[in-house]
Amino acid sequence: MRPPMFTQIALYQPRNGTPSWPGDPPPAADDAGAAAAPPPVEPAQNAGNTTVVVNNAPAGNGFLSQEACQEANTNAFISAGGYAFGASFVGIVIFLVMRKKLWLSSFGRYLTAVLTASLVAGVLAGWDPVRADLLQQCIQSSDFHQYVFLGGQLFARALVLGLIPAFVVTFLGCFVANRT
Amino acid sequence: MDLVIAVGGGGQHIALSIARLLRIGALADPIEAFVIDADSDSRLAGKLKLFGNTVSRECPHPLDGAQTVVPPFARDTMKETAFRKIFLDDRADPLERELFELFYDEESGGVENGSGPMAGVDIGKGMFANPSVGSAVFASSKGGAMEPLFGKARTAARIFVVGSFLGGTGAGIMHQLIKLVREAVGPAKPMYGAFLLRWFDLPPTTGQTVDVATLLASMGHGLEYFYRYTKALLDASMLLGVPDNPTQQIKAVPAAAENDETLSIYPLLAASALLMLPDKTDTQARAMHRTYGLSHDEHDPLWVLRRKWNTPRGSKDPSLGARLVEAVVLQEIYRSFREKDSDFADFDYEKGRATWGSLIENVARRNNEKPAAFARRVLGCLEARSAQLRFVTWWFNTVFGNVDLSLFGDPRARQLYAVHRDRGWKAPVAFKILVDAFQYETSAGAAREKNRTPDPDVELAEKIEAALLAALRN
Repeated sequence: MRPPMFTQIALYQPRNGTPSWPGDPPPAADDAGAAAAPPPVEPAQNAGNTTVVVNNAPAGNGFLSQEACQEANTNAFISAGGYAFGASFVGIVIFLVMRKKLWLSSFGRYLTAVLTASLVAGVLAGWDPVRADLLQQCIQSSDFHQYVFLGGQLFARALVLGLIPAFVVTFLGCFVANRT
Repeated sequence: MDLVIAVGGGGQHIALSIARLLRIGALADPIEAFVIDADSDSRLAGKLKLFGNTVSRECPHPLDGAQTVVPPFARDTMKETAFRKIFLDDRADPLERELFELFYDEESGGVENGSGPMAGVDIGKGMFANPSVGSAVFASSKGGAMEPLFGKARTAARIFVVGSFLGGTGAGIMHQLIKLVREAVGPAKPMYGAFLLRWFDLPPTTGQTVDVATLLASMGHGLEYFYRYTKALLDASMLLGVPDNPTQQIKAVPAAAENDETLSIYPLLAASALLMLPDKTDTQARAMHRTYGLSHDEHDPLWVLRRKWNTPRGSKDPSLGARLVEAVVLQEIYRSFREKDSDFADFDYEKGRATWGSLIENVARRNNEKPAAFARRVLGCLEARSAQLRFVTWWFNTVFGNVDLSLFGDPRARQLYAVHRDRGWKAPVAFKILVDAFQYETSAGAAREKNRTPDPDVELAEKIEAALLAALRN
């Protein structure tokens, strides 16, 4: 039997303690997976469909979809890029100030700028202070974390989305800035 | 080109002063020196020839010709340098011996088969304040040894003869030398003289042949001869010596041990004759020869530093103090370059690649060298130049003391000197002025004309220094 579609739900991100739909009663913890809810479907069986209800999601976050998680993932990419570029900018400014003051050696300046930017970007990418709840739910969902890039691996995510891009961008930025 | 003929120990002291003044720009190029002394291996001669061990491929001598000290006799062809044996060999007859001993005492002429001090003067080591020895040796071989001098004198624009009337070489050969040079160049060539009278005291431990009385006797005879005969051969001359009741700065200093440089203000004052005497000479009335002296202002011990010397292009302060301020600031700049040598060599300073970096890279490529390696060689040249400046400022500090020169110099040099004086100097200051100096890269340095083609790194270092000076002066 084909599960019912809840396309409207996919457009919203339910908050804890709020109804998924304005007319609905707030979902209770003890009626997750109640008779009104469709039976759980494995994601593999849901190929081509966009929305599922998972019964192992945290209370109040029971409505996730592949599209929502993919979009949250895209947003996470954008914010990680922002972190990396912001941290790189800080690193390049540090480099330029150090060069103006002739602090340390050239290698020391590069190292300080690149390490600072990389660490800041790595921490920000791992911590992600503006992370959306939906992304958090997607990451915590055993079914949907696959739609989030390195969703279950915090350190790898910080490394790949923060540290490495910031390292590369800062190094190149410092190199170009040093040519001036 | 002006020719400075430096005679004897006093002449070498004045030549050293001239070299120092040339190095900091207080005298203008081109000046060439011809140095005459019997002992070309003394410490003083070594100091002059190597400018205090600072002359190298990276940094040439500031005074052309000072690298060679020529003996006033044909030393290479002489079998014997003992004064007695030059004139009295085994074939000398008794009359010759009698005449020789009539003219020369035991201390200068020695005794038959004498040894040590009784062997007489060894002219290979100097004339030992015996003008009679110096004049006899010079007269006996004046043709060959001095021939190169006459050629230079004929082509020189002006000739300055400097030395002292105190010792053996200067007092002994000065008068004859001036006469010979005048004969060689003719009456029209401008020719000046700057001569030191008593300006140092001998320590009591010096050997028996020379004491202050000997020096004063030489000086007296030299002065008498000068006023009678030599003075008229010169367009103008300057005589300098310790006055009665001298103040601390101008009193006679003890002569340095082992024929080293004696540190005194007098050689510097004598060097000022190069600027003063031509200014005071009336070329329309050469017969009206004048002899000048200088008076010391005891209320202003720094008056020499305030005097107008050469005015380099761009500078509004022609004082010697201004040139010293520049020398001090340049040393600080070069020290910062060394401190941050990798930044200098890799152009890792603000606007470094756009300015000197591009220039050095171009020159390095033309010479098939890596820019960083070439820049390090340029830095080596700048360090060698800094060593020369240190040799200059060390001498001034010894003579004048550690005086505050804050009132001298063009505004930027003065400002940087104040930073140095307040111990607030930091490396970025040096690199900032280096970048600022790049705008003068094409114009600076063109004024100097040298009879040599320097290596590319040496030339670039000279250019950097000239540009830095232009930036300090503008």
